[in-house]
Amino acid sequence: MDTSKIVVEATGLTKVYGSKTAVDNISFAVDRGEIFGFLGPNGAGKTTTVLMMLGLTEPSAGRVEVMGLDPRFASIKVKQMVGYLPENVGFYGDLTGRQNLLYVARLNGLTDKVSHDRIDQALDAVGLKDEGDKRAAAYSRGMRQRLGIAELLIREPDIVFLDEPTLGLDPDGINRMISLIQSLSLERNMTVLLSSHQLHQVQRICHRVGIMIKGKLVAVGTIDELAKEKLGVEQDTFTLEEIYMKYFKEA
Amino acid sequence: MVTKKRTMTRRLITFVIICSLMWCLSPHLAAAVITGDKDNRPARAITVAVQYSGMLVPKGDTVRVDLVVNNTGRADETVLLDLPQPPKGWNISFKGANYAVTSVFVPGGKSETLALTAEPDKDTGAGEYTCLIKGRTKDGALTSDTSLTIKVTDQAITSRDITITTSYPELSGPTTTNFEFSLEVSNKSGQDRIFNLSATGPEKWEFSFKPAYEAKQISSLRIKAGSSQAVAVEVKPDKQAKLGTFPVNVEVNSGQSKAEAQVRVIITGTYEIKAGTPSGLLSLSAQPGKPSNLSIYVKNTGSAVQKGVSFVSFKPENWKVEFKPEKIDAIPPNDMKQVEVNITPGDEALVGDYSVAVTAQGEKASSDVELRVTVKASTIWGWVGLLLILVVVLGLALVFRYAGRR
Amino acid sequence: MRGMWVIYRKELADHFSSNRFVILFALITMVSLITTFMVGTSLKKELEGIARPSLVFMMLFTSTGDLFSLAQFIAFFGPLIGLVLGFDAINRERINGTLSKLAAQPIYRDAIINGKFMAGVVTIKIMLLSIVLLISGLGLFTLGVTPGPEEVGRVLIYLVISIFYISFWLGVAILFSIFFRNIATSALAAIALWIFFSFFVTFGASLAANALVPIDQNQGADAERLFAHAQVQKAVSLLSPMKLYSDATSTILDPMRKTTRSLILIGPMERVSMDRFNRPLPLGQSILVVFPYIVFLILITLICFAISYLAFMRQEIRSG
Ligand SMILES: Nc1ncnc2c1ncn2[C@@H]1O[C@H](COP(=O)(O)OP(=O)(O)OP(=O)(O)O)[C@@H](O)[C@H]1O
Ligand SMILES: [Mg+2]
Repeated sequence: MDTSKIVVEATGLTKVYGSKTAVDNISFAVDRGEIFGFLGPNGAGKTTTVLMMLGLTEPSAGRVEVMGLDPRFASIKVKQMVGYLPENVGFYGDLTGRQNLLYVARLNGLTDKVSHDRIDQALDAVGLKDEGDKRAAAYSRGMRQRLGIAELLIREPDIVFLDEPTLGLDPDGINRMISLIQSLSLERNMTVLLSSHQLHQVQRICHRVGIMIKGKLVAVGTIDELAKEKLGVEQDTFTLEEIYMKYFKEA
Repeated sequence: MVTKKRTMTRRLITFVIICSLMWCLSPHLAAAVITGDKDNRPARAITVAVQYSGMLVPKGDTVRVDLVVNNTGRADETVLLDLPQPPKGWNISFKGANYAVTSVFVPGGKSETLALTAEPDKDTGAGEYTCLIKGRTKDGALTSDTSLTIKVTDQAITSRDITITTSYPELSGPTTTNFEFSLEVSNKSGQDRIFNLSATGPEKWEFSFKPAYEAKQISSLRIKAGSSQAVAVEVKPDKQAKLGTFPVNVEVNSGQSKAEAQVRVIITGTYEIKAGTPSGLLSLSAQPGKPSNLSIYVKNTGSAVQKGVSFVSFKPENWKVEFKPEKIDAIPPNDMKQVEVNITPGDEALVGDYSVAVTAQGEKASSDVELRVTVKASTIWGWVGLLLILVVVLGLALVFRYAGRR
Repeated sequence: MRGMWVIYRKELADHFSSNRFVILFALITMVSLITTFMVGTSLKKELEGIARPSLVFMMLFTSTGDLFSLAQFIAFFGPLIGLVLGFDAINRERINGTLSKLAAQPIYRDAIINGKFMAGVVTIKIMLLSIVLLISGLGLFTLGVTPGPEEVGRVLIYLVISIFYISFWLGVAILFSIFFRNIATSALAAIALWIFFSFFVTFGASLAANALVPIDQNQGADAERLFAHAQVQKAVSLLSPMKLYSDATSTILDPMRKTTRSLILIGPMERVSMDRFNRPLPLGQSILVVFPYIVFLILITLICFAISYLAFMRQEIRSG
């Protein structure tokens, strides 16, 4: 496929809702194999940015390219390459976890035979092997989140957008989710874009982060770079939280 | 008749009772009454006589003549009547009070009249027949003879005895008319007669007689002596009769006498037209508010020219029915004229079948055609509707095309 | 296309396994059966002694029996089928959080609404077809009348009109499910609209007619005025799809009906002329008579769907 390093590139991306500018002229690029973290307070525009990258929301200005394609015009191709885990991912409560996965597999044009194998593997991978035949309505929040990851595993996309994957999980669940995300990148060579408030975990896995505040991307770079720039000292012990709060106060 | 008979009988009975009373209960009084009248008549005397003792009748006629029995004596008599030598070929009978009688009671000084009827047999030929009539009292003491001579003649009674007169001897009309001639038949002979009626004319024509102002058909009628009666002759010509004058002879006869009259029927031709469609199909379809065309023909099936044929129609309100031409001046016999009928159903006409009757109205004849007009819904709206759906579907396709690819 | 197909199949399966569908179907089937049975037995009584009763088959659908005819029942409660099938089509997905996930799959976004609409329409088709077949079967059983090709055609067209009619309500329900994020709200709105069209338009029609062409009750009115009154009433009441539908179907089902109008001015001569041949209309003519109605029903159905479609395509996908 595309041999260039950059898989997602946004230039001057803007989204205006009426009088409110949800995303304000942001530009960034994500390289292949990276885990990129979007950080920002509620209402910063993270979800909006992700939706624009998927072509589910039209940008008001600027453009975004996924593997060199504009999702507005090549939405199918983009959606084939991109897996998306929405914040508060939902499932059909009447169907079992397995049936939910099968439905997604069919929508992706997988034959039932292939999907059955993949569903087994994916359920195994996310630790839902025994829960696959339960109705999704009976799933806990953590199980739903993991079922969402299983869905991504089945689709085998090149890039995944995870919108707040750790939201509402207990510490143990967060850890499991973090390692799952890491495995996506390490074992399956997926490029991961995630948004989160869990600064501590983001710090653990993200190669690079972008900090969004009130629609503006105030900083992009590795955590070290940002620490150097904002904290101004070569600190051995710094937290992302410190950097983040600094940006937040400035804004 | 009945009343008359009854009064006579009653009178007789009364008379007899009075007589008996006088005779039995008060002979003196009776004797006194009888003797009181100075009567110079004989004690007993009768005479029998026919009114006309010599008669001249045509052959076959029945003779009726009064027979008078006269009691000129003072005593009452019962007179027996006898025919000692009845003439050959005749049936002779006496009638009193409508009954055939053989004897008659005649009070003294009175007379009784009986009717003598002499009926000839069929083959009784001409000649002179004499009939002797004998009357005698019951005790045979008195007799009286008389004779009747009947002279039967061969020749008919002169035509002056019957006359037929008609005031309109000539009638004209088409073959479809029934010609009715009224005739006056007069019986100028001295007797009541039964007249047979007959008419002859062209073949296949029908004739019938009717009394004036009555519907029944008759073949003979009785006319009193010296009076006359009106008779109508109805002539039904053959439907195929040609134009022209046809004489019809009407004959009235009674025994030997007869009278003839000639009437003439002038056939002016039949007036008959027939309207129809060339195909025989009497239905057409039309759309509301849209004219629809049909040709009909009008054929003169009569034998005379039909003039001034115009057209009228029975149609629903708000409908228009037009004819082209509106009027045909004349159609010769056996000719056919074509007429275009333009039927425009009303704008609000419902779909379905309507009946429209068209009448070709000539001066002398008319003919109806009933047409079934099937009003059909306009397909234009159907097409418009389909077009509309098509437009919307196309629009939807465009929407799919431009909005759907995301 | 593939996406639409998959969604269609899932939705269809959902409909057929959902409790509300089963309840609705059972209810409608029951009512149909009862109605038909009553109509059938009363018809049977009436038809005793008539050698070859024609048009009897259609009476199974149009005869009112003790309560209402089947056609009336469908006209009245058919919309409920459409509403029940569609009132939560989109907003339930949205609330579940499945909509954004679905939209992120490699399918066109319209596959979602197309698939849902199609599944609904097919469900309606299956439902109506089975009801009609059931009634026909029952009619054959109780009355022993076999429908001719003409009658079969009439029933088929009735079926098509009914499908469009109920599909219109399905479209309305789907539209509401797009506009209203709350399921209860969209259900209420849909039912409100149904009640409005079923009850209030008729009422409004007579109000409008009384206002525009008042008729004095006491002294009566001439024919022209009555006619104008009826026309206004008719025009207003035709705003209701129910009226549109019931007029169209009653004309299709009854070959003796020659117009969709309820009041017509007929002169005495016209009366005589019409009564002369009182034949039933051929099917083609019946169709042409009601064609504008059918077209209108199809159009509002298509337009309703188009609006739903556009609304859905332009709407934000994000959940919550
Ligand atoms: N359809 C919309 N109409 C108007 N404003 C909107 C709409 N969708 C989002 N916004 C606004 O855009 C801004 C960005 O929203 P977005 O969901 O992208 O934030 P976020 O960073 O994902 O926040 P969170 O952490 O709460 O998920 C918010 O202020 C929100 O109010
Ligand atoms: Mg968000």
